[in-house]
Amino acid sequence: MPYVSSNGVRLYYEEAGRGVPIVFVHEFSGDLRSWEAQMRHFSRRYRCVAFNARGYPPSEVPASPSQYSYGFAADDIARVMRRLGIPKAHVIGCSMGAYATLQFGLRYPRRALSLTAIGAGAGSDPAKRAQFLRNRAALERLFREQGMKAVARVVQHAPHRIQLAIKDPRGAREFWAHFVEGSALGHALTLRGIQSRRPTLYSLGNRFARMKVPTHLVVGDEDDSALGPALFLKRVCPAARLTVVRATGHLVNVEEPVLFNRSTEDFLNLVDSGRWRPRDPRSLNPSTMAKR
Amino acid sequence: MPFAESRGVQLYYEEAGTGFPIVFVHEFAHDLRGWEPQLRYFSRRYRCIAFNARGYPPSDVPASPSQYSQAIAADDIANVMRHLGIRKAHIIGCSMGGYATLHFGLRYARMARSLTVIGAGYGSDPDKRTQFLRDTEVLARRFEQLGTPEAIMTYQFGPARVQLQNKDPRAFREFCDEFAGHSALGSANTLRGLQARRPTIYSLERGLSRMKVPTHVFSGDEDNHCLGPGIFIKRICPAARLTVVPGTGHAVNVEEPDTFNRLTDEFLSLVDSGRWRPRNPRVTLRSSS
Repeated sequence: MPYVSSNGVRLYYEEAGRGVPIVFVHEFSGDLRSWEAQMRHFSRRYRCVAFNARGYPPSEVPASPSQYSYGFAADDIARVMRRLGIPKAHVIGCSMGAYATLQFGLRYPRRALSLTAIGAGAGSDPAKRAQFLRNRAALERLFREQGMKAVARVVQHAPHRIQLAIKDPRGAREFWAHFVEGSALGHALTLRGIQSRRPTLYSLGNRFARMKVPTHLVVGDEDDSALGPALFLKRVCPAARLTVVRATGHLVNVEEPVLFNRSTEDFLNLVDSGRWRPRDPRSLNPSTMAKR
Repeated sequence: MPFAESRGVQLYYEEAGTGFPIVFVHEFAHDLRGWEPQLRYFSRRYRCIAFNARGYPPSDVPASPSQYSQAIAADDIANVMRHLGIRKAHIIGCSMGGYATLHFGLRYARMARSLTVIGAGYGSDPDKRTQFLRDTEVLARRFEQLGTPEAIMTYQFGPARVQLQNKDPRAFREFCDEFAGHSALGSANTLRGLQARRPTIYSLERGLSRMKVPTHVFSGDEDNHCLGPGIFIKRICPAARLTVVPGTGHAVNVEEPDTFNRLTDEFLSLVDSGRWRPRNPRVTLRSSS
């Protein structure tokens, strides 16, 4: 099995296809298998690389909480690319992976051809921040004390995940079957080290305002904790475009693979062809009229 | 030329195709010609009807602003349908026509199989309301004093129109040419009678939270006046789904006809097949991850 080492931790990855590279960065409840519908589609024209985050076997599960941080998560993307001889790539991430993707754009802008961030920003909303942190702590205890199956029973009915079970029960069954194979320790440490400690997207507004990497934000219209941050980023970041997907929850690429692949392909084509442009500043005029 | 009468006013309409009916309701800066990419696409499977609002020739142009209002705009949809013997239709409206479509859903729910609402919300956000009313009156005066071609020079390059200019200059030129042919009196009366006086989207909360008609709301991600109201509708109305289209301004159907037609086709098929469902109310105590 292929691995790369990042800050002393072995990360498992898979590759498919040839061409301009795309790196896929998975979310908290998934692993690289969540990208299957994207790997099969984009590998026809791109070199697709997906890897498992630290804490997600076959990647290593470091036992120390200090080995998990949002900084490591962004660095891990860069290390995977370096080891595979990839100087620049389109980076596509979901949820926790979307946050890492956005951080990658801030820290390594010259190595990103574009960023696609799905459902980023949970825990950013100041009004819900305290509750978010309480939830993380309770969930961490559940992982440690009762294991993956107990967590799956609760989490799959969360208000932004139930959509998958309603529209695609087969897809949902597969997703949660993969989930319970994960490491409870790895998930608990990921919650503590990354999710509870990362700066909120709102606190990074100034940096995103200056970031120039072409960015596509994708969010479900029923993913309440990610909608606000997506609108915020669209507003502050001239390089960002926003797609909201109808009647959809958190995992847009898993729930709506056809729509996601098509809209992502449009975006990558625009960037690859050199025709992508940042937001026209005239569109920020607060009046409904043109400036004279 | 075919006309339908509504409250003493003759409304011009066009038809294409056969099947279950769709009625298209245009925006302030367009007329029925703005629906051309939709008429050509949906007429293959639906009976498509598009009409010009009052104030938009060949429809009549009533001389008094009191002949124009949000309620009248919704009545006009119902009267066009009655004239054509249509008891129920999918209604698709953009901007001003999107407002009319929402009001139609609230007042004529049994005549609507579904609502598609594009870019509705101008004048709703409290922090932009004063500016909106000021802009509306300035524009009405420009129509009166300068005539349409000159009046629209500040409007057609507005913040949610430049996207079309950037991405599809041919479509933008057509839009400007057709807009320039509009009645100055009709446009001024529409601005004063309808746009400046219509209720905000937020004031419709009670009605929308109970409305059961399957609804699909569209907004461009750069349509600053419609994004907030679009998200509001999604939050309070369990029958509503929301699509936000990337790198896009106001008239999503004109700017991104391929994306719009495809998503709308899918939505109408979901409703027609009986498989459409409102938002699932299920929530759990442990509410996240």
